Amino acid sequence: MDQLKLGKYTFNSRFIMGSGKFSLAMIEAVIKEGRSEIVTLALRRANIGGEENILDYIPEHVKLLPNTSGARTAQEAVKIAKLAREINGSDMVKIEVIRDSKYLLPDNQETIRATELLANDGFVVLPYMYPDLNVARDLVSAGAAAVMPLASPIGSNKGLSTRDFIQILVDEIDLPIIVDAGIGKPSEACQAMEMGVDALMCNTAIATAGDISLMARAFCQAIEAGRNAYLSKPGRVLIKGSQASSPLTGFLEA
Amino acid sequence: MRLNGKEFNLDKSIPLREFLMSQAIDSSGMGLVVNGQVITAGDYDQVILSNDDQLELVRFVGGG
Repeated sequence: MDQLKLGKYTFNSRFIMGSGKFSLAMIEAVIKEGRSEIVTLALRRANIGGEENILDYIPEHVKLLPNTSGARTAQEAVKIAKLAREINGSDMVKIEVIRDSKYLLPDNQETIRATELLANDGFVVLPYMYPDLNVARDLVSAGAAAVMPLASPIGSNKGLSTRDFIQILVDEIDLPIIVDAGIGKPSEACQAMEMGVDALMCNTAIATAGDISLMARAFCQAIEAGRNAYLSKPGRVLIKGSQASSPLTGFLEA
Repeated sequence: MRLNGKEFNLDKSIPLREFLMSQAIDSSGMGLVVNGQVITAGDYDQVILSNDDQLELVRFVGGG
């Protein structure tokens, strides 16, 4: 069976959903339509007066993937990851180390450091990174369970801006490649999966859609279609010329 | 003391667990950080808060 393996965990879905920018009521519907089995969360200051708990809206079978958003250094990322594990035992973590607030591009070097520290502490580490083959190799050495290259800046919906460099990672890195950030349409998600990407993360493209639930479903279908296309091994492309689908023998000559 | 970034006056030093109870804070589902250190639930009785300390209470929220 075609499953996604991330460290010691196995999943049937290759669609990882972000939970940001949704009302709590929508989160459950979106996860259901998207059929995701992994959902990312962030950690922020609690409202001391009390408030609803987002975990109450995430189905029990879904694996929580806390991110380290807010971290500007490896040390901060480690602290956030440990806090998340302390709250509910989550030992899977998405490392997000960003010190550029304009483009929200990840700091690859701090990400490598955080990966090593957390992998050595028993975490299943999914590092969010700017696609660079050398950095990806360092992440493999550091103990990452996957590599998560960005497609475009976070929240931009711009699509596969870094497509060619993601393809290099697919071709050269033995860990699962999970495209994360900037995917705007299901067709882009489908294309990424056709390239051989192992899974896809999406948040804003769904949260900013006109019909949020329907878009979650569209992404689910697109990711499945792209994966099936990749497994089917698409046919050859004729750069020049053509090849008829039926024999060129006529039957209408006089 | 600073509580989630705001000034908060503690009349006297108090164990963390007692402080949470005195403020009617339900810490289930929250992570606690005192002076930059993550506090495990088992240590809530051992950690003593004073007016020089910084306490952060965090929880999961939506994020990508």
